[in-house]
Amino acid sequence: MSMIQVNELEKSFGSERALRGITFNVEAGQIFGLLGPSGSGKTTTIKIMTGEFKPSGGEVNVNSYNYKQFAKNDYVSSLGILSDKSSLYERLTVKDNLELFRKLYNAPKGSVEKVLKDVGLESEIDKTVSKLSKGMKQRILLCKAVIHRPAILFLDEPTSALDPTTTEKIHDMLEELRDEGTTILLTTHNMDEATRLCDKVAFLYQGIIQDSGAPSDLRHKYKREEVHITYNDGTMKTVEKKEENRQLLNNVLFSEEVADVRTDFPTLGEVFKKVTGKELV
Amino acid sequence: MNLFKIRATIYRDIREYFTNYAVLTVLLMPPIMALMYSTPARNVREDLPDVMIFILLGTALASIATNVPLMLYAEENEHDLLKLVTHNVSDLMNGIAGRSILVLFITAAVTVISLLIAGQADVLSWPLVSGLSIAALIFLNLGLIAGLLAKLQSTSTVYGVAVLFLLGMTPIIETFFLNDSHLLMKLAEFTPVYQLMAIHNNAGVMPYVIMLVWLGLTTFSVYLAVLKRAKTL
Repeated sequence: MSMIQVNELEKSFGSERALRGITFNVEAGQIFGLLGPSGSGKTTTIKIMTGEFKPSGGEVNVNSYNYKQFAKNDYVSSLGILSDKSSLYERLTVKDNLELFRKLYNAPKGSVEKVLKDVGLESEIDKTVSKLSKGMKQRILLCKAVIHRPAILFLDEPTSALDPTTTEKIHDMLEELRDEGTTILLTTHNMDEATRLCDKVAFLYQGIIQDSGAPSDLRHKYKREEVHITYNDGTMKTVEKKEENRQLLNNVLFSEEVADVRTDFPTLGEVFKKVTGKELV
Repeated sequence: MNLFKIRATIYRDIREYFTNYAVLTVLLMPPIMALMYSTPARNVREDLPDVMIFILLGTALASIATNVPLMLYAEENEHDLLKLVTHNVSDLMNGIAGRSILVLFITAAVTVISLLIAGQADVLSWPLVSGLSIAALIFLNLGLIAGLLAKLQSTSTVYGVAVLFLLGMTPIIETFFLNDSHLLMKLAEFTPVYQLMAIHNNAGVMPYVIMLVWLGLTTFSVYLAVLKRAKTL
């Protein structure tokens, strides 16, 4: 069952076309990654799905709500959102901030302690937010987004500019949420993050989805037809997988002079470059 | 009206009152003024002049009922603090209801405490209390109008100070020794605090009528501010 259905979605800001008819579906309990460089339309797409922007054309359905119903409280309550605009009350404690949102969403008592435990910040519960590090604040913002256990989570570059340890903790939490059945749509230009987390990705570039699929499928699709041979003396050779090289490759497999034989799957970043002709920065 | 959201707003605002030094300052202003004004009078065993009592009442109304919601909304607007949970007019109204209930309660409490400090609690007759209730709503509306539309805390402070000096401390004009026919005196006679003074001096129904006109105009302005603010959600 598709939780998110986007069909020929368009968005223009004056004469500038940010989205030029994108189409994708996200199944329930899936982590879907929207990958692209800055300015490709990722944040615009999320803002349309959270009701912040209205589309210029096309259709969007999220959790069986049409985009015309995105202002309804029922719809908003079913979402969790972590974006660049997410913020906390700096003068209040972690507990006060999360308790506020627990009450706003009418989440059960004990939710605050539970989400803090999920991100490993239970010891910071009485700390003033202004005293937290950037990584801790980002984890608290994620707690805020999931405290009411939403059906769908929208994350706009959730680990941007964070240290590896914090990133790892956030990834762990997102995988747990996915395993509990939460549908997650995240935007990122971090290919390692997309490779690790996403069940499916779409490459968004200049407002168009250039290609989409499971990360492993995309890497297979765009893999290089090459074999890398490393000899015992350290020399390396790359041979294309072609009919004329069949005998050579067969010999290599049984040769005692060969230390290692492998094929390379491209990384998602390399696939993106191949598809769009542009580096993902 | 969503009671959960109203309660959540009250919960957050109570914590803000104790951690936001700007809000704490305006809460303490009326009791400190009461202490300052009443000490010389007490020393010579005299009552505080009526003008001073009503400057105190006006200050309590303007500093708390106007400036507290103004400051809190301005900060939220500047930092987009509630953008993700305020999606429509209904959410906005729940927030306004919660904030207003707490502000009015605190205004009443601080006003009574200030009068007790000044030794003037006996000025609170039923007519004056009803007048103060209407005046509190007027000052609250003035704070909501500017707060909902404020983009920066710094610029909103200017508005708050203007309301405090022009509408909260209007009776101070008595100390300028102007003629009754002077334009400033004529204008001052229509301000809310002057109506409270008129009620205290048994001036009949007219002060209430003037304050209800103020209330109607400010409430309508709040309605327009809500509609305008809702467009940016």
